[in-house]
Amino acid sequence: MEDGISYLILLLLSPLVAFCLHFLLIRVARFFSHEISPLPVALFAVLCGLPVVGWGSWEIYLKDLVDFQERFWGVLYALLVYGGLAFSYFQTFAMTETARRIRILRELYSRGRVTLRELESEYSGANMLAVRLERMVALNQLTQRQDRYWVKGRLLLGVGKIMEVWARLLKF
Amino acid sequence: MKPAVLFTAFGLFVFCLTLHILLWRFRHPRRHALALLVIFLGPLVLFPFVAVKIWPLVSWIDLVAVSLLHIALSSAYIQIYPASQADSPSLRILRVVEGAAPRGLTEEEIHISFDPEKLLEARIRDLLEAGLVSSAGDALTLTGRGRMLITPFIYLRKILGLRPGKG
Repeated sequence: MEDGISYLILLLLSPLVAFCLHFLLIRVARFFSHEISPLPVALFAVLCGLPVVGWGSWEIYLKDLVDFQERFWGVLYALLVYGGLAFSYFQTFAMTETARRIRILRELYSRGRVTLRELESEYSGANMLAVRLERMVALNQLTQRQDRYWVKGRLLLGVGKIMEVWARLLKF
Repeated sequence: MKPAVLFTAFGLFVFCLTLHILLWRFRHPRRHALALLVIFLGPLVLFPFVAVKIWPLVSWIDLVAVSLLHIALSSAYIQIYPASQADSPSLRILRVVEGAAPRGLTEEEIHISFDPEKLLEARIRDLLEAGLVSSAGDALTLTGRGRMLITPFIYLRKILGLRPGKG
């Protein structure tokens, strides 16, 4: 019973594993003077967390399960819980990097009071566009040759199409 | 690990998702985040009592395991929900560039294809409606709730040693 409790506690705290790896990877990249876009580093940290949490789950609980089926469901359970919680960590971090609302709230937090004009001059449409183009080139979703852009990866486009269908379902 | 734990957690998640879809199709809430938290986490309060009635021999560890998986699935969904609620400038850019294939587009041409200025206004409006920001004349300030929301995001980046995000 104690093993089962420890297993659940490990999985509950698994986003901390992703966070700690993220913390380390940022410093490793900085040590080697690599300017890497923050989002791929965060994603890599989350992926690196999988074998760490997997090993912990195995040692604490899964290896002692005699029945193969129980072990199979235990592995699937760990994958789903870590997947859901670590994805939530990644999305939370991604919001700090990309979300317009977070940027606006942050500006107000640091400056107290901001007029709309000041906000527009610092966070203009052109600035918003330039940042996103740079980000999507770094994420391999766009490619740039000379001064023109083309679609390269189709992952975000695919996700976008799914979200459009979901938005229609929710009547947005 | 019993398969019933996974199936029950999925069943609970699907129940909450169905409730969410039905409510949203009826009327959108004013405070989306709060509504989602109530819909997805509220049933966890009643779940143990219902589960014990249906499966009298269920162990408390199984109840915790079901709750944990449900929380993981719900948390992931709540995180991606904003992408369905608001138009994403990045996705709009990708669609515009895709539509111009094979000649490609310059930054100026992408800018002309959609109006990024409206995106800032839309977000400010969202923040005002959600009560995270208040306006006095032409100036915006954080409300207490806005400050509570943004503080963890700021500290996350500080602890990671990263400069503020570009938005």
